Amino acid sequence: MMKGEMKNDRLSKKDEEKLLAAYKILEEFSNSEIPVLRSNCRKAKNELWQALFDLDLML
Amino acid sequence: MKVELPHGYWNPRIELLPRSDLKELQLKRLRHTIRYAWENSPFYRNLMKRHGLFPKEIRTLDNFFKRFPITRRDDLDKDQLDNPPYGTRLAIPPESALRYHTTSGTTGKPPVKAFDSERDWIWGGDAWASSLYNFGVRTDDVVMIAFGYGSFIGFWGAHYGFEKIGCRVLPTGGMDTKKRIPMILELGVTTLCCTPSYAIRMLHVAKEEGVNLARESKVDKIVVAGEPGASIPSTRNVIESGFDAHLGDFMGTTETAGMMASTCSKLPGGLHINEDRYLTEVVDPDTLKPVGYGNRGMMVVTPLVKEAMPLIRYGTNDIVILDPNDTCSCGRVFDLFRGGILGRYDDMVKVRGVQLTPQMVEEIMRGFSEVDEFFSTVEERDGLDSLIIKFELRKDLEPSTGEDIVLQIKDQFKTEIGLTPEIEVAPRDSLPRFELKSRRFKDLRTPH
Repeated sequence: MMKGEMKNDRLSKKDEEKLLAAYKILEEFSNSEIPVLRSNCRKAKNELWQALFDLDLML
Repeated sequence: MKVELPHGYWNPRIELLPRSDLKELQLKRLRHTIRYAWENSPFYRNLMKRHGLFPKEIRTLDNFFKRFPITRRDDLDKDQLDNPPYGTRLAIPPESALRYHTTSGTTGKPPVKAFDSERDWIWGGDAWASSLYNFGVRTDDVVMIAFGYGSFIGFWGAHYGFEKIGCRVLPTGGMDTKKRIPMILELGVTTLCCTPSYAIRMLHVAKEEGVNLARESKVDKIVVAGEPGASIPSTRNVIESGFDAHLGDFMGTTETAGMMASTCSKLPGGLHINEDRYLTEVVDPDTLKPVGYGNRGMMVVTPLVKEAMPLIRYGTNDIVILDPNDTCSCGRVFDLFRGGILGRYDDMVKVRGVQLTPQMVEEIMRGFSEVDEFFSTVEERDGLDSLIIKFELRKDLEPSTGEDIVLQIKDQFKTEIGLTPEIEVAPRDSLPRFELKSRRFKDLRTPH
């Protein structure tokens, strides 16, 4: 890594657990019967899935 | 004076992995991809069955490279023709797909129909975002996307990638060049996103309008994709000097639905491959054996984890040279393609014993600042194969200068390629102009 470029690129175990818990919550509301909640949670869930996948926390 | 582009990592956790850990990650994602394709894509399940291959047998990358068959464009075409309209590769029900795209159709073949799920689309936008960030695009950039926003995938992913970074994006699909130029000046556009052909076209129009984009605009980055122009040194020079901006080459295909490799801010001639999303190989086009670092070969690519339409070991016909990751000083673990896409094996022609690609012609023609536009054909004349090049002189030059330029161009072809073309000066504005997927080269010989 080049010097001085990244200050904090690490996630703690606790951070990882919080992210996975957030995913579970979004997943739950992705099946809501309320359209506004269902569609926005589904999109947010898929966006978060991408971050978790990129970070190798999900597959 | 060009400012230095900012350096940084979109995803340092992965981009700075040791190479051995990256390989492990690729294998994990590959095994998931193969298992998923077996379970959901009849095209791949049948292909694997025909080759007596089962997902659990792929335990190493080497094992995969040796055993898994290469999929070709013809296989995809045949599958969609035999099973219209979408073919059997689709791994989700069509009604749950989010996007529909086609290939550009410029190869003369019917376009391949491609679907993306919502997750694929986010994945594609993220791949673009990561590449754009690595090139130096940041939140405060104002971006003009000069693209038609049609069913061809083109710059759709770029649009979402820029938004993901947080840029202000100007989608100028319905505008012509004369409207885009004042908008660049008025809104302080810093990043232009288009094909290399269109960037050159914009420079010509700006000149006609009396606008000096290098001096009057804030554009300091040009993001190009869709054609190999940014990898051709003379074309690169025309665009970079015309805008006084950094030129970034971004390569992807509709079939892979994402950004495979892109220019690094630390190495203008090298494109880091997004190896966490794509497993790439470079093989001899005839033997299909790996050619190793530093040698020309065909790119074979496997997008890792694609939901709607899996694609495994896709033989692209693109000519590339692989360089190890430490060729670049940025610290990223990803290997590079030297100079991007160098041509296509299916575009290569033989003229009087000389192997010729459209890129070789463009490299020489763009080196002549007197040339406004050009078009080349290979034809049989008097029983001999001939390369014919027509070009338009720049509008501010006297027509009488054409003869001297013709001699200079002939001389350069003879010296650099070993072939003397027939050159003709064409009337002004008579040759085709391109905004997307330019085709300035045609082989008109009768196939034997």
